[in-house]
Amino acid sequence: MSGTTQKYRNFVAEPMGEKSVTELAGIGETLGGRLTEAGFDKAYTVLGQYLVLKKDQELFKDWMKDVCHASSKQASDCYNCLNDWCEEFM
Amino acid sequence: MSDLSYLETISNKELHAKCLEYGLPNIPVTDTSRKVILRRLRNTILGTQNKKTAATKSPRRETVHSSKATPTDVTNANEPRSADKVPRRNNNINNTRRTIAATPQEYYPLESSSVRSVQTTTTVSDVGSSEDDDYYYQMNTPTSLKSQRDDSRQRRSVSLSKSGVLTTSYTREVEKPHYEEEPDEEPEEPQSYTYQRPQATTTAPAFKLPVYEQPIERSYRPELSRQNLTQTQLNSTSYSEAPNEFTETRMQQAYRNTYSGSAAPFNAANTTTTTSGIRQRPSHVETGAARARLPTYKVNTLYPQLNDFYDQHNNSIEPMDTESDSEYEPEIQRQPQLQRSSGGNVESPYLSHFSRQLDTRKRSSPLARPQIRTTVRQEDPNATRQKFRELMESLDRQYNLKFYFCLTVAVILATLIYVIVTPAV
Repeated sequence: MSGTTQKYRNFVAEPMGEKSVTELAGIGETLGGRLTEAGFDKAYTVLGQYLVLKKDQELFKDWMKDVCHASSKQASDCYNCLNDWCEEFM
Repeated sequence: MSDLSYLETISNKELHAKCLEYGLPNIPVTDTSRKVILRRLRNTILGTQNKKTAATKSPRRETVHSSKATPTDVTNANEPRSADKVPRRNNNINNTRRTIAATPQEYYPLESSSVRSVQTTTTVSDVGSSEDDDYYYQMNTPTSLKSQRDDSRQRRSVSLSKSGVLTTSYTREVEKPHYEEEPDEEPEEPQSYTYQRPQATTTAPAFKLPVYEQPIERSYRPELSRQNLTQTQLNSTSYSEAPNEFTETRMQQAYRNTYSGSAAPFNAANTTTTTSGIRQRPSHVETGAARARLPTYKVNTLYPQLNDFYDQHNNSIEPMDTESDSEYEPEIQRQPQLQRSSGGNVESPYLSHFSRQLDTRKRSSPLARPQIRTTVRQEDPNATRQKFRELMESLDRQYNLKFYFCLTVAVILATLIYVIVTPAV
């Protein structure tokens, strides 16, 4: 589809470690703030939710839209970022 | 709705069990994922209900689509296509092929009902699967959706890709048929054209067998008159003018002349053979539509004057070899003419211009061909000499070759004389 962003490449290029939520592709300051308020301050927490939902794209997107009011593009970017990271490091 | 309130009150375990009952994937229900899973469970429960209702609602949507499709198509097609449609009908049945390929909408009334119903059914199936996204789109980005919808309306390819959206389904379904129908209608088009083609085809093969002049001409006229009467009023102008100008016999000859005129100048083809060959060509090479195109030459009412001359020659039987030669060349010229004629027939004003072009070409072709053959066959021995003479004369004029030639000859002679006269040492 569209080309990958630099943020996406940086996140997928290495283990996430203690990276902040805002390091995820598709999540900026506003969405990061909302996620932090909801308790998802680290990227691995979002990854945990992604895994709890069993990598289901629809559910994860719905969750993103529900928690931080992400748009479909933002949710899909975040999902793709986590999915590719999992394929790379899991 | 009672189910919804019940689902909100149940615990995570119960909700998990409920999800398993409805066939949802075995996903752990947590506080964070509860909302999402609840929403999916609602959708599944309502989806089953919607599927039941959708079966009843689908025919309504189909009817709505069909009703809305016609005005949108008409409005969209009026500007670019209507101009093409109307004149093509007006010009000739011959061009109906291309008109139909470009404008299948003309024949919607015959076929639209079945095609549209199929399209609506497909969209209805998509609707059930993509309800979730629509809710979110509406919740989050209504404006972006509107813009996307507008784009999808304008761009048909987008509509094809995003068929899953509910709201857009109305317009998209209308637009899809164009793409889906076009390939489907290509084989179906002949069915609609069969009304027109059979006239040309049935008559043409019947003519081929007898292959004699008068029956062929007579057969063409009734066809043309029928076409004029049935299809368009504008056609009547182009076709009807010709019979008014000339008598029927002349017109029949004129039609032949238009066809045989190109072959006639070679003095090679009989009128019967030429007409048969010409009319058989479209049958072999092209479909009946090409035959229908042939009447476009009828517009060349000026031909009879030139062609009458050739018809006299046609009466005299001549060898077959020349016929074969004459047939090949007119084919080469006529094929582009056919293409151009079909393109030029798009609008009625082009007819006159195009007919002029045809006239000029056909005039030039018969006049030029005999010259070529006379030069090639009769003047072959003399032509080379004459050309050589002309070339020498032209060179002499430019470079004074004669002078230099005489000078060189004189010098050579002088040297010879000097050599001869002078005693050897």
